[in-house]
Amino acid sequence: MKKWILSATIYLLVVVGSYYGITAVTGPSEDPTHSNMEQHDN
Amino acid sequence: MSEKILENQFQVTGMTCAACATRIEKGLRKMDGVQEANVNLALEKAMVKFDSNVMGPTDIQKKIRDLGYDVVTEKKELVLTGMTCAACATRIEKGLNKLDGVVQASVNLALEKASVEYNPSVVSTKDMIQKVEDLGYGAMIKSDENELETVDHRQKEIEKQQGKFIFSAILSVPLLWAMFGHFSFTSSLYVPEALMNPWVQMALATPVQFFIGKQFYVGAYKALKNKSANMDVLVALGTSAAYFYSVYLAIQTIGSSTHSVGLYFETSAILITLIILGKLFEARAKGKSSEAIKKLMGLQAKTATVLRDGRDEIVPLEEVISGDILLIKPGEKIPVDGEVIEGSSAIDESMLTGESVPVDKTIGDKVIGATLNKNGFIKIKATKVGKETALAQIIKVVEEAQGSKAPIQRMADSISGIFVPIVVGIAVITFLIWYIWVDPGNFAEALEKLIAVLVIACPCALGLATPTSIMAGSGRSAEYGILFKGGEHLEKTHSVNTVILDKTGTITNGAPVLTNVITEQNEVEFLSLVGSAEKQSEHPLAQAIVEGIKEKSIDLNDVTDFENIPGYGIKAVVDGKTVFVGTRRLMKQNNVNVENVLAKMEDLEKQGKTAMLVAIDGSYAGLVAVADTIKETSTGAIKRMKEMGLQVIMITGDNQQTANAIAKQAGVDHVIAEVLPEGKAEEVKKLQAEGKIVAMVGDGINDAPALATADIGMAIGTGTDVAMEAADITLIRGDLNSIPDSILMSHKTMRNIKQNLFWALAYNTIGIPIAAIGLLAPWLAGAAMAFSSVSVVLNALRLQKVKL
Repeated sequence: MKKWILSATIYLLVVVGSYYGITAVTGPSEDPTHSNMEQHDN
Repeated sequence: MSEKILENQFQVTGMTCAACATRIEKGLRKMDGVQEANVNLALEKAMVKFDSNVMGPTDIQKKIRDLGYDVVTEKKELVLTGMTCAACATRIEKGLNKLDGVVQASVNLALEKASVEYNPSVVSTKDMIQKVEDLGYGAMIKSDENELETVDHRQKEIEKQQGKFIFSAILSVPLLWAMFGHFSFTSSLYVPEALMNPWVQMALATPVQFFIGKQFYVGAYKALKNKSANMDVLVALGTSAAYFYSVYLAIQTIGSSTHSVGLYFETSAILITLIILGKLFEARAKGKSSEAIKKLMGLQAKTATVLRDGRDEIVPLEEVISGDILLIKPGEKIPVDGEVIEGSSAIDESMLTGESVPVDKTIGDKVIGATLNKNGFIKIKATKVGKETALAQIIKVVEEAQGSKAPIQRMADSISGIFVPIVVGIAVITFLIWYIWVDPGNFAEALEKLIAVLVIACPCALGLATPTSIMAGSGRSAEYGILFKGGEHLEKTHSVNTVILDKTGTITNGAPVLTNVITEQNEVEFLSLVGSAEKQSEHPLAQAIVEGIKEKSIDLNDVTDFENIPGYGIKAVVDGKTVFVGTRRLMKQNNVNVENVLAKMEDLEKQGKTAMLVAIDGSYAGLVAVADTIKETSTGAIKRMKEMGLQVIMITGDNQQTANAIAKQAGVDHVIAEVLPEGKAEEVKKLQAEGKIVAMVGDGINDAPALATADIGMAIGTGTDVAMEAADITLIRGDLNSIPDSILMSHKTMRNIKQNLFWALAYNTIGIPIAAIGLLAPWLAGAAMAFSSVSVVLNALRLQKVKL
C-alpha cells in the first residue's frame, strides 16, 4: 500500500514542481492565472 | 466406447461482468465432449460436466484461457523417494502428467523433487502422492512454506485494487479541485495555478488512464477479440472519449492566443477512480458472501489426541484414520465423526445443526466432527475421516449450492449479454441527437452526454444481483442446518404449497419407547420379570421395553430358559417363574384367560400403540405397550406450516387406525395410510397431477424414490444419519421446524433477488434517459454505477443476518 501512496505522491510533486520550475525559467506566461482556461461546466 | 462423465470445477479470474460469464459458458458448451457448463461470476468458478473419453480438464483450461480469462492453478513441490535412475523420474513425471487436473509436472532426479502445477479444484496433493505411491515410489509435500504461498487470490485482488484506488485518487483529487474551482457556487475556492494548466492536467490524468485503467483496456480487448462486449468496453470507450478529446483540445492550445477550451481530463480520471472504488467494495463484499464456507471450514479441529500403543499422542487431523481411538477432554472439539466408546458428555452441535441445546451423548451414540464437547471426558472410535465426515459433506453441499445458478439468473444473463451493444447504440444516437439537433455543432456537449450514457449503463449490478443472493441465502441456511443442494432448489422451495411428511423418523422419533404399564401386581416386581425375560430378545419392541424398564432403575435378573416364538412373543423362566410376553394368540395357545383386558388393549391400539400381554406362571399378570412417539417439536412445526397456508399430509405404511391416531396427535388433517415405500412416489405424482407443488420430507433412505419424484425432496435426520445424496434439501436438525424455515429462507432469498434485479434494472433504465437528456454529469454517472454494484451486493449480504 505504501508503495502506491509514495509513487503517486512523488509523481504529483514532480509534475507540479516541474510546472513551477518551467514557468520560473521561461518567465510568466502571457496569461499567468490561466483564468481563461475554462474547465467545462459540469 | 461408453461415456465417462466427469464434473470439474475451475477457479476463473479476469471476469468483470455477467457478459464475461455468459461468454465463457457459451465457449465451453461449444466444445466437443462438454455436456454442461455453468459459470458463477460472484464465486468466479466454472463448473463443467464433460466426457473424459473425449477431452480432459487441461483442454477446458486452455479454452478458458483462449477466451481471454485465466484459470487459477497452484504449484507445489513434492519430495520424492525411491528413484534410482532417469527412467524412474520419467515414469513419475508421466504418471503425474496423466492425472486429471495436473497442468504440468516435472521431476528432478538430482534434487529428488517433483514440481507440479495443478488445478486444486480437480486434483489434490493427496491424489498426487497416491499416484506416486501407486507407481512404487514415496512422496510427501515439500514443506508448509508452499502452503503459505497459496494466498487467497481474492485477498490479493483486494489489496491490488486498494493500491490502484489510492494511486488513482491522489492524482484525480487535484483534477477535481480544478473542476470545482469553476463552478459558480465555488468560484471563491482557491485553485493553484499549476492545476489549471492543460499539460499538468494531462500529466496527472495519463497514468490514471493507461496505468490504472489498463485493466479496462485489456478486458475490452479480450471481449472484442471474442466478438462480444462487456462493461470494460463501456468504461474504456467512455473514459477514452473524454481523455483523447481533452488531449486534442490541449494540443489545439499550442501557439494559440485563446486558451478558452473545456477539458475533460478530470472526467476520465475520476470515472476510473470511482469504478476502481466500486470494484474494491464489490471484491470485499463478495469475499464476505463466501464467509459461510470459511466459517464451516474454520470449525474443523486442527489436531486430535489419539490413543496409540497405550499412549495418547497429539497428531494433526489429517493423520487420524478410521478406527483410531480418540480422547476428547471437556471444552475440546470433536475432531472427526465417531462413536462414543467410553464416558458421556453434553455435546454442543449448534454449529452444524443450529440447535442451541446441547445433546447428551453416551456409549454407543454417534458424535459429529467439529462439534464441541461441553463437560465430560469421552473416548470415541473414529468412524469417518477426511472427506467422509459430516462437516466435509456439508461444506461440499454448500459450496456446490453457492456455485450453482438459479433459473432466474438465466434471465439476467441473457439481458446483460445483449446490453452492451444496445447501450453503445443508444450512446451514439444520443451523441448525434445532441450534436445535430439539440445543440448543433457543440461537440463537447454531445460528447459529455455520450460518456454519461456509456458509463451509467454498465450492467455489472445486473450480473451480481442473483449469484450474491444465492451465496448469502444458502450460506445463512447452512448455519441453520438447512442445506440447499443448488440455486434452483432455493428458488423453487418458495412456491411449495403441499408438504408430505413421512411418519416414521420424520414426525415421530422413529424408535419405539415404553409408554404404558398396566398391572395389578407390584409394578417393580412385574417389570423386573418382564424386563429380564425381554432382555434376551433382539426384537426392537423388546429392546424398547428393556430400555424403558432400565430407565426406571429396576434391576433385571438372569434368565434360566428362553424361547423366542416368532409371530407370537417370548417365553422365559426368571427366578423360577415362567413368563410369557406377547400377543393374544400366545395367551390363547397357553390357555391364559385375557378376556377382561381385551377392551383396554384395543384402546391402546387405537392410539397407535403396540400392546403386549404378560402372563406369569400361567395366569394373566398385566400388559405393557410401546409406541413410536411424536417428536416434541413436530406439533408446533406442523401448526406453523398450516399457518403459512401449506397443506400438510402424513404418509405412512401403518394401518389407517394407527396412522389416524398419530396424525391426530401431531395435528395433521390429511393422512395417506397403508402405503408401501415404493407406493409413496405414486402418491406424490397424484398430488402433482392435481396441480400441487409438493415437498416430500423423509429420512432419505427408504423413501428416496418419493423424494426424487417430489418437486422438492427434503431429507431430515440428525447429523451423520442424514442421507444427503437423496434430497434437494438436507435438514440436518431432526426438527420439523426446519421445513417452514427452509420455505421462509427461500421466500426471503427470492425477494432479495427480485429487489436486486429491480434495482439493477432501475439504475440502468432510469439512468440512461437521464444521462441522454443531459441531466447527469459523467463523473456522477460513474459514481452511480459504482454505487449500484455495491448496493446490490450489500442488499444480498442482508440475508446473512436473517433470523428464522
